[in-house]
Order: sequence, then structure tokens, then C-alpha cells
Amino acid sequence: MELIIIAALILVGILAGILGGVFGLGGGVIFIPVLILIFGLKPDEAAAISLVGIIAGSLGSTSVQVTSGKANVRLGLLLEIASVVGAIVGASLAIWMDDVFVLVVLIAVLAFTGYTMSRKDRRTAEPVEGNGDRLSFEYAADDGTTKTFRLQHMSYAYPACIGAGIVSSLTGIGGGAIKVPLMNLVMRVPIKVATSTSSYMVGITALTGALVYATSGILITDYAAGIAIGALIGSVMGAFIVKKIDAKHLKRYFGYVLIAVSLLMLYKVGGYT
Amino acid sequence: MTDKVSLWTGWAMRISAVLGAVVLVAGILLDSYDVTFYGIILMVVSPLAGIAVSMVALLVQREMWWVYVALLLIGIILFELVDWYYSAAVIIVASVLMLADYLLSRRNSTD
Repeated sequence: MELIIIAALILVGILAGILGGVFGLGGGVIFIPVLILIFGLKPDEAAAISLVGIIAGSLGSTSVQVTSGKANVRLGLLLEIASVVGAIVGASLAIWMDDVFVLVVLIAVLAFTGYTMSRKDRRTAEPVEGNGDRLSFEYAADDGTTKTFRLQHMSYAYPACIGAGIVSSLTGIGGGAIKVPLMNLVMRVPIKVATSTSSYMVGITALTGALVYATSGILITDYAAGIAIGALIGSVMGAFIVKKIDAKHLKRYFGYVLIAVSLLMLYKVGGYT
Repeated sequence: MTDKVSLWTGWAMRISAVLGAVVLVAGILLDSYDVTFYGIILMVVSPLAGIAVSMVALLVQREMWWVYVALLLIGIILFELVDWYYSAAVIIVASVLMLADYLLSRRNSTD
């Protein structure tokens, strides 16, 4: 493969890694439209490459959050049981499913992510205090003290996590836009813990989908290599940049960009049909 | 707040990611499909390495129910890597151990 294409893919990976770090995204919302609209790949090929990029980006940004204890490993492991089952189903569906249907799901996820990012009033739920059982966890509160929270509504959480896993593997998008509100609003996980743990979980969900695609021979290795290297570099850069700037207003504008990209993708679906 | 599980898991993910990136760069520079492919596999399985290390750390801390949770997750992920019956065996063993641990803890709490 030409070095110029690999260099372009590395740049895309770096950009997605930085934006992912700044806006708390997995990077898939950038990889997928770019790979489909600019590089002309099929949705399943783009999804396979995007999942590798998401893993690289997740490793770069969340290994720090895991080491510092911001991401809750036990909570991530518990919820990933459902997400991984969904990811296996989603990747298997994507292999034989019609491209147009995959694109429609992708457009819906992009538009939903854009809408949630562009909203001014982001609703968050307060945690319920833990009682020392297995579903209770400790976290560092904003006032510097250590508090506890207990997971709520686990019976809703598991089907929702399976759904998030299916969407993630089917479209190649991390699924953080589904997991963070699910953990915070439904399971009452403190928002900061939910955000960090979601980033950790996204890498595990993407791993399963990426393996399905890799063993099916759909993964274009050179493209995936370029995206992965870029995403790893970009995510580390994004982790530093996010400390220097206030990304709240930028996040809203990026939400509008995603809605515009989803409309472009809708135009692409017109081309397919 | 940082316990052994978080610390070990984070470092396992970091080391595995750096190794994967080095192999990927080598693959691109050498223009070798095989080296690039192994680099991607190394990168992709990094989260799995993290889970395996989490399981060991949980085992060291004697948090057995969470060890079984990690084992169950590994079993499900293995479904794509090994023959299905190995994966099914791991999933069944982990599920039975989780259930037994749960029932034992409930009996102890009612006593």
C-alpha cells in the first residue's frame, strides 16, 4: 500500500484520538464517516477498521484512568459480560446483513450521539448509597471524600448492554453514547465513574467485534494499522489537551457537526439504493 | 482509591498497547503483511490481557466472586478465538462457581 494513504490514515487516527480524548468519544464517530465517505470503504470494512482504532484509542486514554482508579474495573467486567455477547451477535449480523441497513443504523447512532452532545441541559442522576454488598462500590467524590454507590435496575441494564454491544459491532462505533447515560441515569453510577468506566468498557466490546471481523477476513490490515497507530498517538495527545482547554462549548458545536455528518451519510444511503 | 486490581490492569494494558504499536510500526516500515497482522492482533487482544491480569489481581486479593465474573467474560470472548466447546466449558465452570458463591454468601448472611 502507498505510504501516502497510510500517512493519511495515521492523520485521521490522530485527529480522531484527539477529538475522542477532548469530547470523551471512542473515535468511531469520526473513523466511520471518513472511511466510508472519503476512502470509499464498505460499511462492514469501515466498521472492522474502526473497531481496531477504538481499541487503540481506548488503550491510550483509559489505561491512565484505570491505573489511577477513576475507571471501575469490577463494574466494567460485570457489564461487559452482556456487551460482549451483543458484540458477537452484532459483528455476525454485519457480515451477512445488507449494507443499506447497517448504514441506516449507523446514521441513527451518529445523529443520536450528535443530539446528546449538542444539548445544553445534560441531565445527570445522583448515586444511591451502597450497603456493602457485591453491587456496592467506592468512589472519590468531588469534595475529596470516599463515598459509596450501589448499582440500581440491573435487570434493565443487561438487555441494554447487549443492545449497546450489537450496535457497537454492527456499526463500528464504540457505544459510549449509550453506556454512559445507561450507567448514570438507570444504574445511578456517579457520572465521572460512568464516563471513565465506559471508556474502559468500549475497548473490551470493540475487541470482540474486531476478532469476529479479523477471523472473517474482512479486516484490511494496512488501513487498520495506520488508524491504530494514529489513534494511540492522538488519544495520548487528547488526554493532555483536555486538561488545557474548556471543551464544553466545543462539545456542542461538535454535536452539530455529527448531525451534519449523519445527513451526509443519509445522502450516501441514497447512493446505495 | 487505587487498588491492586486497577493498578495491575492499567499497566498490563499500557505495556500490551506499546508492544502492539511497536510491532505495527515495524510491519509498516518492513511492508510485511504478517508483521502488521500480528501487530494488530497484539493491539486487539490488549484489553483481554487487561482482563486476565485483573483476574489474577482479584485472585491475589481473594475476591472470588469477581474472579468468576472475569473468568466468565474471558470465556465469552474466547468464543471467537478457540473451538466453541472450550469456550462453553469455561463459561459453564465460571457460571456454576458464581452461582455457588452467591448461594453460599446468601446462606451465610441468613445464618
